[in-house]
Amino acid sequence: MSTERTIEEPSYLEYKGKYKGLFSWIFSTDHKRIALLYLFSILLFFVVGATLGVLMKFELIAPGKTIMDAQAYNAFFTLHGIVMIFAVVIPGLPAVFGNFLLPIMIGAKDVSFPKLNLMSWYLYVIGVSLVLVSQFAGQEPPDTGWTFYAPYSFRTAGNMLPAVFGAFVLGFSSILTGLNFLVTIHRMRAPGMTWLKMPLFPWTLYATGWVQLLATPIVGITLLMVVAERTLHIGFFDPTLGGDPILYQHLFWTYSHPAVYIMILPAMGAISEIISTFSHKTIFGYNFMVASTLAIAFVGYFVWGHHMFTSGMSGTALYTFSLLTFLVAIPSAIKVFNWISTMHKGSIDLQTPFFWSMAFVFLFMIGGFSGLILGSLQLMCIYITHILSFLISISLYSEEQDSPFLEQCITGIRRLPEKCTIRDGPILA
Amino acid sequence: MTTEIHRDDLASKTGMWLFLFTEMLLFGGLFIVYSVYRFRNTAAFHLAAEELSVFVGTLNTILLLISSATIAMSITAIQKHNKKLTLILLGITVILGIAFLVNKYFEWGHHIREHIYPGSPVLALRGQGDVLFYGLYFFMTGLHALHIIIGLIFICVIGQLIIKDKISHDNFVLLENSGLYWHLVDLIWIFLFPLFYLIT
Amino acid sequence: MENEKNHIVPYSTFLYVLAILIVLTLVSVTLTQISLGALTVAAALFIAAIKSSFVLSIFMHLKFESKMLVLMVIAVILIICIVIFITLLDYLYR
Repeated sequence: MSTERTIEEPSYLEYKGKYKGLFSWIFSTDHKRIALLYLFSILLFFVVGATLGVLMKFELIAPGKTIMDAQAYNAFFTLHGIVMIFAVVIPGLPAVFGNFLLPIMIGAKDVSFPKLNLMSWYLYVIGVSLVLVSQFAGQEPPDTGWTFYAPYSFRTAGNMLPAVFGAFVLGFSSILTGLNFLVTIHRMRAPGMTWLKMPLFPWTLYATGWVQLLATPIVGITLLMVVAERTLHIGFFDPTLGGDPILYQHLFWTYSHPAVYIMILPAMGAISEIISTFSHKTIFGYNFMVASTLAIAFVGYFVWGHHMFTSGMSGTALYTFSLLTFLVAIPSAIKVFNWISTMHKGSIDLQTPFFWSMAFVFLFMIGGFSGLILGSLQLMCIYITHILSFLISISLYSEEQDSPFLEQCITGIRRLPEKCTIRDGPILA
Repeated sequence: MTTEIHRDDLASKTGMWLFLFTEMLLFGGLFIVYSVYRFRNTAAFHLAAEELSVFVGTLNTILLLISSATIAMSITAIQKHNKKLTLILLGITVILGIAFLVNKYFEWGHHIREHIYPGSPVLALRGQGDVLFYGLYFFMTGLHALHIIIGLIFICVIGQLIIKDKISHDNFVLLENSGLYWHLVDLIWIFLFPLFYLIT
Repeated sequence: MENEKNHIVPYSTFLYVLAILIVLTLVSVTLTQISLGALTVAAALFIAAIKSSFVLSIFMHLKFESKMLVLMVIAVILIICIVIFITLLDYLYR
């Protein structure tokens, strides 16, 4: 590995291509530059989403109207959700850290399709722009929440089409990123790096890539159906036309639950790298870590129904989804055990990234245990009706919290690439 | 560092296959909707399907199957250095694809003349099962037709590249990829055909 | 890992497969014209599955591709089937 680094090559920051200045970034097909493009655009939209969130909190600071009326609140709520989910958390880890680190960690020059990679960034920007435009163009901003639930999403006067289409374009961008990673991992691993010698972060990106590839089209077609229902009055989910709104929820969550794993799986991979680096040990139970990554992605694809426990599904479906949900706990627990075991008898270097990782594991355990409670059918129904804040706190804890946590953690160790190549050594050996 | 362009045909083909997976899932979502509504409105779906012309459907199926075979054969032709035959076979594929679209146009035109289209009051009077059936029919065949149009454009571009010798016997992965895309369109029609025309 | 030489499929193979596919299409059309009751859909889908396996393996060249790709295609088809099955668990028992 180390000989590879001694080749004289200009840093990607100083690289001089055909263009200069800004154009040398937005026309660059270099994976590192694209990663930074993603990073800064995501940070920008994060600020937008966070501002909306803060304004919502200000509104809630006192009863009655404080700074905005109910309709504006709904609009902010919707835009906040769409931006934060589709434009920040989902591309956050794969598109930024995946793009930057994946080729480096598997010893490739770049991803398989660099132009496609740049195109997916453009699609990302177009998608977010469409979503933001929906807020200002047209009569009223969209007010459905980020889930676009039928039948409200095609009955509301809100300006839904740009928002829905924007989400569709963002999905397409996510698919292209996933596709690129999968082909890169299949075709461009360094000679000698067999599947089971690949570091864990690429492994999680591999699983994430499959989830992006196979789950996103479902929400894509669902959003297209909503568009068709709004514009052409084709009966899909409208009960007055014989449709079933619950079917919309099925299709929507078939994507949006796996989307949770797009957010969390790369985080888990990075945590595995950080813990083993700062414990000065190879990861405990590497094979199990790989298997649990794939198992989470696979089983996670079939558990969407636990978002719909109270929506009126049949009992059989409820039990099935409850059972499948419990199954996810097994690979998740394997991961936590292995992280802890990696630290066992390691010579732990108590650096900042390690503390962040510890906090991640701790939060993940809280989230995981409450997931067990929520996965059980009866408790879930009780909680959903009585203690909704519990559910919200859990999802905020384990998803929204973990990812920024992790991003800070990684930015904490800016020299992760070097760290990774150091720990490639034992694995490649 | 040399600026040799990295070419990996297998990567390109794998990428195409992965893209086809997303297409499968895209239509998979529609098949889920179809199967759910068919289950809930079995009788209405059966009656509504009787109005579709089995003859036109069968004809279109056969057209697509032949076009699939010709584009598959064009790959053999280019591997055997037979540029002219490759172009002829691609031309046949395009003509058959256009013939499919023409048939589809007349089929849709027939329905629309009978006031059967999404949102039509005549259709609404016939009940929810029919509304759902024709909604799915127009949306799924429409999306499929859109794929055919994209496929035709793709094949025409490939044909141009073959004329310019950008694609030749040792560099034909783009032709293979256009073929894969076209076969996928065929594959989806293989399922659409019985589900809409043959369930009477 | 590299597949050095591409397998050239003879023209005749494609023509044979095309003939089989057209015959199967006609069979499924005639089968559904005579009333088989509940079996009609099953028969039509079964024939469609056979046809698609021909298209996948010969036209789409899958028969000559790496095992990894074949495995992926099977897995994706399986996933679609499982999703349809699980969704129907809701509707069949509601």
